[in-house]
Amino acid sequence: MLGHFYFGKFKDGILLTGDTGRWHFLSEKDFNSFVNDSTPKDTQQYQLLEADHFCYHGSEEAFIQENKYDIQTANSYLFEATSLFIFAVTNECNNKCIYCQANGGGQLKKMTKEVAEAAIRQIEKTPARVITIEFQGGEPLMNFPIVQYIVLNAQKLLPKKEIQFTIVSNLSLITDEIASFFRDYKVSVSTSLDGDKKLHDYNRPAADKTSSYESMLKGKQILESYGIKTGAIQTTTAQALSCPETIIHSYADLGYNQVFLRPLTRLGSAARRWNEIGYTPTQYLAFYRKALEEIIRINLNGTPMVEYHAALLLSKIMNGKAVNYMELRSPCGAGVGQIAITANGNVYTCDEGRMIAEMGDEAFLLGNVFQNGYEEWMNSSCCKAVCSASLLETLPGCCDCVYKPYCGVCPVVNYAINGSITKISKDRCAIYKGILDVLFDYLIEGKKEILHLFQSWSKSI
Amino acid sequence: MPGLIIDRDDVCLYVTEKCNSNCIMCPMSLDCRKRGSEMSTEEWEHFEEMIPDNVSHFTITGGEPFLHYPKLFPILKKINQLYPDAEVLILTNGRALAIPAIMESLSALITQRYCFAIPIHGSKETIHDDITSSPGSFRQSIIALKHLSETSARTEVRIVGHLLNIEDINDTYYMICGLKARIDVINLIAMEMTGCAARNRKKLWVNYDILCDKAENGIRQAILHGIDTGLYNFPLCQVPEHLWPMIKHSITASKIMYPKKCEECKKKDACGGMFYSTCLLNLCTIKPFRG
Repeated sequence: MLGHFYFGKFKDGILLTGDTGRWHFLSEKDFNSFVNDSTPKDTQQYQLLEADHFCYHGSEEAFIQENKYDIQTANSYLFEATSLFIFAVTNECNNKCIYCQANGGGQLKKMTKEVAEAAIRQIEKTPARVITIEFQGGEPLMNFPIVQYIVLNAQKLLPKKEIQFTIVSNLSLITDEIASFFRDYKVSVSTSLDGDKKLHDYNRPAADKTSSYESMLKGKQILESYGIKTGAIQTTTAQALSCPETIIHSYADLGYNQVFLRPLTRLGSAARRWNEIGYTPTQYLAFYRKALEEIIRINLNGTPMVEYHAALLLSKIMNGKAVNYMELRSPCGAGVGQIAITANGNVYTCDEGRMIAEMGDEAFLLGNVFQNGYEEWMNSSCCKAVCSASLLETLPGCCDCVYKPYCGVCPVVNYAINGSITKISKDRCAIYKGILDVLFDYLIEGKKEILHLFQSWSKSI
Repeated sequence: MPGLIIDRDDVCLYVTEKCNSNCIMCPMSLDCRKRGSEMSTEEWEHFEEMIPDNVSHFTITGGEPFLHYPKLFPILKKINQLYPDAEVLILTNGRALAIPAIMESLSALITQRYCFAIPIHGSKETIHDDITSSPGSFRQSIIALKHLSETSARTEVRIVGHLLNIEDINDTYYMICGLKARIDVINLIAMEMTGCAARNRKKLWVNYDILCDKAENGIRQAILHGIDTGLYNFPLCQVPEHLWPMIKHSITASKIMYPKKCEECKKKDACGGMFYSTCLLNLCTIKPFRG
């Protein structure tokens, strides 16, 4: 009997994937004989397909029992409640990034202690025991007193939760006092690094015309002197497309062993300036392919470095293990995996939902920390709408896509670009499909050293 | 006999035969519990030297393991230190944990890798205490569940179903769902017909399919409460098809037996079989799938 699987043309053959992440690549001829049940059962090919649950003999019930734990593992985030709480403590920033999505030019606001305390108290209701509080902005260090207040009080107000703190900052305002506070309270720090000084300063100009690259470096050094290792993420603009190697080397030169090559999302300032900084998925994918080649080269030369998209996807492909990355799950993490709280206490489905609000559209508002609570937010029609809009199993085009076991959709991006939460953004789809194409090219080619490297990436997260 | 039972990466510490309850359907015999032998001194003190390095799961069982809490706590401490990633399942009636001092010491050892499985035999004191022949045991087990739900451990309630509580099974599920305690799992357990259970079979035996039928409302209630539910030790043909996802293959391989009739069954490969003891007593009406 055939099991349940997805398939699609890939180069000169057919790629088959299963809900547990496993995959096979067959020639068209072999595929036809497999689906017509005429592959001899004693061949190695058939036995491998059976071992990976693409077919079975025996009863359907035994097949279900054999698969159910793997399927649970591949979807383990479904057993978790909201665990990521984004506190946008201010929308003010001292950088004027050309692609900024967090400030639509509206009123500048800083979170107050009253809002912070009310927000923390509401978090208690999430059934998740281990939670992350992530500070975002604007530049969150422009409201450091509230960051400090939350870190110092959250554990007291939530004695039953295990809380991890993380901050996303441009590092320009890091001082010894802040660094020692982060060290003492185990706040992990993430920053942005878009490439070398020239590209970084172009993408992320400082408001006071100084070099944001230099001030980021200075902040990084102060943190390092307190033993804090930062992480960094990259945003790709049109100006980055021509220099993937330079970008990778600027990461390696600063001692980063992970790079996250993120495509530009057409929101906020990026949407307004799309003609200047935007590009097509094909252009991004050519960039990604070259960048990944360079990262692989660096690794094979002895310096470990991970590309985060690849690691996320490879974890599903090679280990059948779900990573609770909010964008690549079904349903997406909006509301049920994360929420974002802004300075005025408004609660949104996710960071992207809050960005839409910064542009004046409250479509993704779940509630407010003073007016209602966790249960109302989760039961709001908005939360339900984004959940059902991101359930791949129900989306035409996604439900039978060969990459369905690894992918996810973003209702907020759909809404921003196509005006409907269910109208899939073609660009985003093309980019994820393209990244998976690049990875499967390597996997099918099957060079030992690259498979070995991919295996280590898949286990790095 | 008590001791260390090692099965690849799974180690069972069968701590003692002794128990402070006297359940009518206990799979151990009265003599055995009275004799009360326990793990050897060497096993108590050097168990870590006698087991593999890669243990991923510990089961601690008895009798009632907490009767030996002064010796058990150092063992838990060692497990925490030497096997920080291993899961620990403790099968207990929980009565000792109603004592604040014992619970307090235990709390310091509990991590989220711990799961405590505590049997509850009825929705109220009279039914439960009659089955355990131990006045006060219901109250104590419930207190234990409440205490444990304040820790990071998972809590599991086990309902062993038989003639003496079958009419109360649904109420038992409802009572547990309504407890002011965090219960993660409720499992319905089909009896293992050895020891007291075999001896008292006339008073106890009810066919598994009837038991399932009687419990169905309760099972639904538990699911509605977000409580994970399972059916332990039930052969496939005794469970209505819509409840099949609840079936856990819970019988240890060496104790499984399939009655002769099962040879005709088309779904035998999906069935966890029966305890050999139950099978030998020829109590259960098997309905092989022939289609």
